[in-house]
Amino acid sequence: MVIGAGGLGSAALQYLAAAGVGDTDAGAGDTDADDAGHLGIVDGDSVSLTDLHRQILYTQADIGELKVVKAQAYLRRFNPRTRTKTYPFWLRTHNLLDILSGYDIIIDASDNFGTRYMVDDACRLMGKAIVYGSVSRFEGQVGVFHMQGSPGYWASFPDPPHPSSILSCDEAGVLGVVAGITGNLQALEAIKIATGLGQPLTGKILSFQALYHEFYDISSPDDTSRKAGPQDLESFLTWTYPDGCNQVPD
Amino acid sequence: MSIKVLLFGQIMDLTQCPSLTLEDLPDTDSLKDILLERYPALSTLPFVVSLGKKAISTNTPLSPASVVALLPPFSGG
Repeated sequence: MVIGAGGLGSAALQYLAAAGVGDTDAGAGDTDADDAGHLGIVDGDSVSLTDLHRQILYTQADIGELKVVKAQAYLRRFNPRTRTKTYPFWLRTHNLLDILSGYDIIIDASDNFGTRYMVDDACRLMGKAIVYGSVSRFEGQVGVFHMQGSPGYWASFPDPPHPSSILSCDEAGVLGVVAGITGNLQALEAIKIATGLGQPLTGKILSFQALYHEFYDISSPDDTSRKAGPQDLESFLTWTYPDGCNQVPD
Repeated sequence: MSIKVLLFGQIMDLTQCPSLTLEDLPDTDSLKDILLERYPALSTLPFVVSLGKKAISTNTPLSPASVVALLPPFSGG
């Protein structure tokens, strides 16, 4: 499941499809893919002109169209056997658990803190691995959370930032190639988890600084409890999540 | 005793450099105090402190050749 078909999701989806994720012999272009491996894509947003420098699944002809629809069409052109399932709406506590239940690996390619904390809590409670990614200007972060009991996003960033303390996405800007590199690193981690190859970034955050060619990883704190968050799925459903860089739209 | 401090995100924007070298600091709280004195705007930014590539949440002694990194959260996708 790729959460967010923006800059990170555009890169990750292409390389996941190229690696054969969702490629089955069950029939070309089948979107009713509950019974087999497939790529899930969730995003309620539409393509904008200002997205195109980093969201390379789309062209100017796609402006105004739902991203998940155009992403699915791109992946079908790339490989008609790639099975996808799209969710053209915003994630909320009331719909998230049901959506995530059909997937083994969750790629957080979202663009706001509210969604990040919400997905982190859901995956902690459901025991699902997250491949986290985020970008700002010339830097990216990638990590693997909730895998084999490893800590989550909140462990390193326990307090959601106040919106005024972090540059908004519009203010900060993102160099498109940095989003591409970061999304590719997320695809790489997902493939490693799915295949068992190598050692994923479990419990770590890898920070990539493009201007000074610095790759630096840090391990999360050891404490894997989350006393300040929802403790069960029932309380998750009514939990309130913060708004961050982009408010989670209604 | 030299302490290398790696800086990321908006913190690097504040300092205008990707790293700093600071001298004679006994612990991570002392390091944060010095940085806040030099860069008061740092007090408004959230960030995680790592020592030797391990995130820490409490004051921790520094040793010669310690490498500290300050990593803010990003939201963009």
